[in-house]
Formats: sequence, C-alpha cells, structure tokens
Amino acid sequence: MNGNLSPEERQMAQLIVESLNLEGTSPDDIDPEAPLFGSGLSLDSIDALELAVAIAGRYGVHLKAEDEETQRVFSSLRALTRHVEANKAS
Amino acid sequence: MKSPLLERSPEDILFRGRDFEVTAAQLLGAAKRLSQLLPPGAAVVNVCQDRFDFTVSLLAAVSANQPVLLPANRHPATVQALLDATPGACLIHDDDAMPGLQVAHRIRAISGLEGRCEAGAVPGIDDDQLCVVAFTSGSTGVPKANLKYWRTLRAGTRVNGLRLFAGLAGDIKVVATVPSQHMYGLETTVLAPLFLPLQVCTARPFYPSDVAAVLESVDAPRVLVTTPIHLKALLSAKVALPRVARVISATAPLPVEHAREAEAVFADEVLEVYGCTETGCLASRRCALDEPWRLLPDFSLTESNGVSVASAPHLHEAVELNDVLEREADGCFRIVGRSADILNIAGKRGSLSELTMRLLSIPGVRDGIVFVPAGGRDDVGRVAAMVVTDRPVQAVIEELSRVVDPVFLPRPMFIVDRLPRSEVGKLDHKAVNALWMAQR
Repeated sequence: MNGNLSPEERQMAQLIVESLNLEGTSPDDIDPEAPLFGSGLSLDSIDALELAVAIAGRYGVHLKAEDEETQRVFSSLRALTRHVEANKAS
Repeated sequence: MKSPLLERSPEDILFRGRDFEVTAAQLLGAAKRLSQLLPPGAAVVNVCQDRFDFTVSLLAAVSANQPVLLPANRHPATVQALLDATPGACLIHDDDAMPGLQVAHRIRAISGLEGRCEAGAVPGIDDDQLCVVAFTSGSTGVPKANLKYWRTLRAGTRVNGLRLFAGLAGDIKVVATVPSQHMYGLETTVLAPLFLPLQVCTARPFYPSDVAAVLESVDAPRVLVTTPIHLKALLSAKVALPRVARVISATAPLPVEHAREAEAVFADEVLEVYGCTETGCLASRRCALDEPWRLLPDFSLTESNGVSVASAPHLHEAVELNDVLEREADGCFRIVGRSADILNIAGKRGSLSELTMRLLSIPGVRDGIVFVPAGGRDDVGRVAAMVVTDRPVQAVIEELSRVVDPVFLPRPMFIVDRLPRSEVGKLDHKAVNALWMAQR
C-alpha cells in the first residue's frame, strides 16, 4: 500500500486523520509520497487551516505562506513531516 | 443622477501593499489607463486575486459603463460557463491561473502606479448604471445573477460606514482574510476604501502567523474582516496578535464563546454581521453579549407568508431571506431557523439541492442525497452523502470535484443499496438520518 512510514511520519499521519476527522482513513493508509491536496487525500483549504493549527499546537511550528518551502511542504506527508521536524523547537 | 466614482481626497492612502501604498489619485490613474485597454462595450469577468488589481479592474470597467461579472467560484468550469454565456466578454486576471479558458478577450490587470489622474477628473457614474453582477450558487444548478447598480453599491457602503466602521478614532487599517470577489469582501475591502476614511491591506493572509504578521505591519486602529472558521483558527493557534480595535465576522454563525475569547485575548470588540449577496450587510450584533441583531440603517424587515423580507431604498428590489427571523422590540431580531437548503462553508455559498443534483448527474449514480448530518462533530458544517452506485466512491467524488468547490465535497460518502423514498419518490429525512446512523 505504501512505503514504510517512519515513526515521525506515522505520528504526523495520525495527527492529520484526527485533526481533520477523516473517518474511514487509517494513518497507515496514507502514502507518504502522495499529494495531500488536490488528489491523494483530497484535502482542501479548510483542512490546510485546521492542520496548520494542529501542527502549531503539537509541534510549535507555525506555517507561513511566504516560507518558500511551504509550497512544497504540503506536497506530501513525507515533505510535511520533514519540514516540521526541521523547524520544531527541540 | 450621477455621483463620483470615489469620494476620497487625492492624496488619501486607500491601499497598502507589502512595500507600497496607493493613493486615491494613483488608483484613479491606474483605472483610467486600464479602461483604455478594455474592448468597448464588453462585459468584464474579473478574476483578479489581488485586492488592488481587482479594484483597478472594477473601476476601469465601471468608469467605461461596462458591467463587471463575478463568477460564483473560481473553478475553471464555473468561469468557462460564465464566459460561454456572455459572448464577447473580456476576462481580467492577474495571475495567469486559468490558462485553458476559451475567451474572446483576455487582459492582465495593470499593476503600475505611474501616471496620476488630475484632481477634478473623477468620473461621474449614473445611479442607475448596472455595475456588478454577482453570481451565487442556486438550487436550480444555474448560478443566480444578483444585479448591483451604482446606487446600491454607493449607498450600501455609506450604510456600512455607519455601523461596521463607525466609532473608531484614527486612520482605520483593514486587514481581511476573505476574498474581494464575494459580496462580503467586495463591500469591506473594495467599496469601503472608495467612500470611507480607511485603508485596506491588499494582502489576503491565510495561516494564523501570516494574519498576525499583516496585522503587525500596520498601526492601530486595526479592523480584522474575517469569518468564524478563520477566527477560531487564530485563537486555537495561539499566535501573538497585536491589539485589534474591531473584529468583523460574517458568512456563517459565530459561536458566542469564540467572540468572548477573542475579546479576552486581542480584540476590543467582535462585531458579527448578517447579510447575503442579495442585500449586502444587513444587520449586526455584538456577538459576545449574545444580543439580538440590529438592522443596519435604512433597512426594514417585513413578513410575508412566514418568509422574512428585507428591503431598503437603495436595493432595487425587496429580498426574501433564506432564514427565519423573529422580531423583537425596537426592530431587533433573532435568527430562529437557518435555511435548510443554503449552506455556507468557509464563506462559500452552496445549495444542498444543487449539490444533490450534481451528484445525480454523474454517470453510474442511480440515486443519491447530499445533506448535512444531524449532530455532527464537524464545526465546519461539511456535507455528507449517500449514493446508490456500482462505481467506487473515489470515482464519484472525483467526478463531483470537477464541478463543485472542494469544500462542498461530501465527507464521507457512503454507498447504500437504496434510499428511503416514498411511493411518490419523496425522501423521508428521518429515514435518511436513520440510514446514515446505521452506516457509521
């Protein structure tokens, strides 16, 4: 079904499923390289906002549109996890 | 009877970009130059994303007496359908976002600020000029055209100035999270700076930290124009926010607790506004006090066959409201019932019957219903669906996504054997809910 999820990726997948009330989706079902928006999980702008809030709460990382990386940050679970890991307060 | 296209002093700042300011004179100059590029007589479909570009485009068209058409949403399919229905239309854009559209004329909005318009040369616009046609999703599936004449736009803005932006000392700076293309954003970020003493930030910040940054970039008094979902996100993200003199919230009901929390944390006042595309802003209330709604000046409410009707001298026709209102003393009212068909999610208007009709139009879907599940956990108010089909759910959703805005995609969608219809084909809503509960 997918490549192996690292522990951090699995934790992020869990956060996505919980914070967005994605009934019927298990964290393990999420392909780490698949798009989060448009296709793949088909998330929309409301999800982006809710996810940004959840990530701020869990990891203390505040997403910004201007951050160039943000364009690619939501491109996949793997990219999102990598961005958050790189930016969170230790 | 004519009146000026804008009523500010030439050196007044109307818009603030990240590193530039736009005065009234500069705005008029830009609009004048753009108006000279418009194909004469063509209706203008304005899909500019930036508020300044959008306003320049609007003013260019209005000054040339060419109506501005605003599509119900930014789906390429929706915009194409509007263009197809408007032969000879001119599309004005500022970001090349919809390259595949078939259109007679396509213009990129001018961003340059060179060339002042001399004082005294402000175009006069006839009260009866049709300026804007704002399309909204209708229950028939064909977008509804809401006609806005100059009289309505001008007088409506004056009325908004008497409530939404009143009672704040100093140069008001407006920061908005809403787009300029829908009525709420049109009134508060495009029309407002033309007639009221305020400045509008051209940014449309999205993430909470970005909203905070734009608010920080301007001095007090700040007015934040936003929606319940965005306000909740700001509070939940716990970003540091500067003091905001007033938060204006509209498009969906604002939970009283969120208004109270905002007033405790960063806002002097949260003003909730009630309105619709047909009427513009219609009433307001201080949500934190859970007080009844107060009509804005010049509006009146009557009842006809159990339906509330709003009217005002500046509206060209009375408007039947989708919600059921109960009048209290002094002309105030409470909203006792929201329309069963009209939805508003993230500021976007949809219709359950239209969504259901779209679902039923998909090949392979034998029956289906889109509805708002009772007692859902979801604050957003998302729709759900049940469908009778042999196709996989994902395929049906994908087909639906081509014609409806993403926020209206059913989540979740379940396949069922049949829907509980009566002998005459009517759906029994209690049975629908029971069937729904059985799926979960």
